[in-house]
Amino acid sequence: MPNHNQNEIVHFTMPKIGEQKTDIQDVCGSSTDGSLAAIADGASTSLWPREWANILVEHFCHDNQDSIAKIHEGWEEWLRPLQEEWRQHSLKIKKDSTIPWYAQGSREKDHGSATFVGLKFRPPNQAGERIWEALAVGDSCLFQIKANSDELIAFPLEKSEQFRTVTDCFHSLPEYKSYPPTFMNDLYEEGDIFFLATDALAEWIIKDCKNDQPRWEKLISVASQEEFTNFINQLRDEKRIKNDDTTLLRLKVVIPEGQKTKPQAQNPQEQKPENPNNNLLPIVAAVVGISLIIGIGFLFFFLIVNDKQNYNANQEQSPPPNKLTTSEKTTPTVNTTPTSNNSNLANYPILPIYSAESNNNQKTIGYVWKKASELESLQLWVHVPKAYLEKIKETDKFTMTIPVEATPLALYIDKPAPQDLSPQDFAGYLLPAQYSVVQPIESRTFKDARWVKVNFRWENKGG
Amino acid sequence: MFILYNFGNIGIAMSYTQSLSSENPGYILILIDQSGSMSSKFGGTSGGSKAEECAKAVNRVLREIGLTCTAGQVIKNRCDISVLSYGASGNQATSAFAGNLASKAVVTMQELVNNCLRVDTVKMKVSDGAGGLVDVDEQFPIWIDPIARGGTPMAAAFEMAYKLVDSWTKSHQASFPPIVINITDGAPDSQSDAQVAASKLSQLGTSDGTTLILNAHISEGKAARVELPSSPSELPPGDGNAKFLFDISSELPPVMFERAGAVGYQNLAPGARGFVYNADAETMIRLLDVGTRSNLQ
Repeated sequence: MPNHNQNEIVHFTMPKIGEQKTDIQDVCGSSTDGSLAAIADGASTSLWPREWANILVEHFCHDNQDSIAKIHEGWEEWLRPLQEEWRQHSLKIKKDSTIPWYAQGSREKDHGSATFVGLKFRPPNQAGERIWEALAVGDSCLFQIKANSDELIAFPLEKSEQFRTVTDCFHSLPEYKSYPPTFMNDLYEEGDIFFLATDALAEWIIKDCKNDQPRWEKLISVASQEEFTNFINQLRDEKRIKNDDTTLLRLKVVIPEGQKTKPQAQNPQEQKPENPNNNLLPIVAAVVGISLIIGIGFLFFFLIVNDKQNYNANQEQSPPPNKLTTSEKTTPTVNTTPTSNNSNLANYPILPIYSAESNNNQKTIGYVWKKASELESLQLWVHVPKAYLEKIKETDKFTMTIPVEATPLALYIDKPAPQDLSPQDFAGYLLPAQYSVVQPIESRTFKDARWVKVNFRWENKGG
Repeated sequence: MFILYNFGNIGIAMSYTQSLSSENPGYILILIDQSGSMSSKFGGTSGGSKAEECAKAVNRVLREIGLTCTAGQVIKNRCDISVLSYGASGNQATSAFAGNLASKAVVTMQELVNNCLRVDTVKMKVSDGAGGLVDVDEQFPIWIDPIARGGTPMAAAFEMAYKLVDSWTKSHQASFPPIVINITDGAPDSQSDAQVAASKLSQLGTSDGTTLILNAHISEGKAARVELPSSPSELPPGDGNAKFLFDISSELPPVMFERAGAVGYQNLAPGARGFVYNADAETMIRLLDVGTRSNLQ
């Protein structure tokens, strides 16, 4: 199977001021096929920290599971064989009489500790989405810079106050309780840049994003160890970065020509692609909510198209993607729109509908698009504030009173349930009046809103 | 000399906050009373003499500092060390180092770690990961051998410390200030001389603060123990020696105050001084820990 990526990976590292390259306790690495990368920072006061950091990075980069979510779920089991490997290493050292006393540790210094970040790029799934996953414990960080964007996503830390002298770690013996890792996933595409950085550099990047003239972007183009060394030394001279081992692994996503496939879904799902079910209803409800506020707006038409994508882009699942915006512009990604809506951009809903309760042609209750007339049902869904509804005693009927000063409510084509609705089902609007409705259904997005059906009829020809 | 309060842009200087690193190493001086009275036993514990327990405690502390400064096999010069003894050589104070370090009054961590006199081993059992236990040697390097003879020329020790600290601070102005830990079992030959010498010493410092002086008074009797007092009223009434040692002990800076709480000192009040009186071996060891491990994490 051809490799699904040809990611370009480089890494740079520097010791603390006054120390040697051989003193560095940071380790980073990647798998040969570029789909896995990891970084670990050994705590220098622990025992054999670099060996422990190395074991963590090596094992992660040789992992061949589909998803590292499995490591997240069973992280203690994942750590155990790594811890036994470290234990055997330390027992061997203890038995080696050529190793001096100061390398042997003591009762108090008997295990290694390290922070860790592991990153995996999954091949495209059935829907053509490319998902990355990451696991992290402690203050080493991952950053994603989306292609053609200034925006920086940081994980697991996003504020400089979160960097302290003591941090959470994985410990190299099971007798010591390691800290559970956090998990995150998101989409990646060609041209995205990822950084893995240990704490001194990570903290600086986060602080630098807030400056008027940020310099962190230089790290995207640094091409040699010497350039990196000079860049960091400059920051050290300016006392902007902590004096610590400083390590960066930089990865640029490159997808081979034959592998490039666009995601097929019309609604590009940018977060938690494994749970697509929640997307439609909130979109529909958001559109309605906005229409209630703005009123009869021809703006409406544009909102249908753009808000669908904007809302998608801003929707946050847990854990939230920690966006650090560094510039004013955020270009919403406008994707291909459903063609039926496109043609309606220039049309207005002008077909009148009438109350089903009276034969009076004068009583228009709303206006719909032509397409509504193509359907047989004489019912439409309405999303309405519950305050407008009043139950008629001893019946299951409700009176819906839309106040005269209210803005018209949006109508949707009759489908079996509100969650079946999509933006294409938007049919027109309902004017203020009193209506009789049954069994309001709770809105899943706005707790103070309900879905109800209204009956209508078309113009009586010859009436 | 108020080095402290004139420094910094913020108005009130933050002192005692510098961490120990190869770039800005710290300096720990341990002054050991090796007078004749140190040959008698500690009270309450079935151990060796005060001299033996003291030497053991100092060797252990140096071992812990050495381990803290080592990652893998790499020793980092995060802290310079002096160990001065007084009493065994007439009225003088001398460096207590022997062997390769005999000529050096101040040593770097690398020099210290690489030049112990010998390594004692003690058998220890550790888990083999498969539910069993395996024997390994636990290694204890020795730098200081116990000596007990002569008087207590404590002033000479403080004066020698003064010279060393004066010279060291000139080239380490950005470092955490020097920490002097004095271990004695009695009263100095001349209290007034010792007071003057200690007072001069306490005025030397770096931009991060003035030299800290901690005192561990160890005793064989069952007399009332005082730990980290904040006021002379906590001392045995009428005890001039206790008052003298209290006066020359520094208030614990925040980083040591926190460590003290963490190692088990209770009822710490603000202004607590780095001073234990009538300490047993364990109390002495805990003060040594607070003095040496607080900012060497």
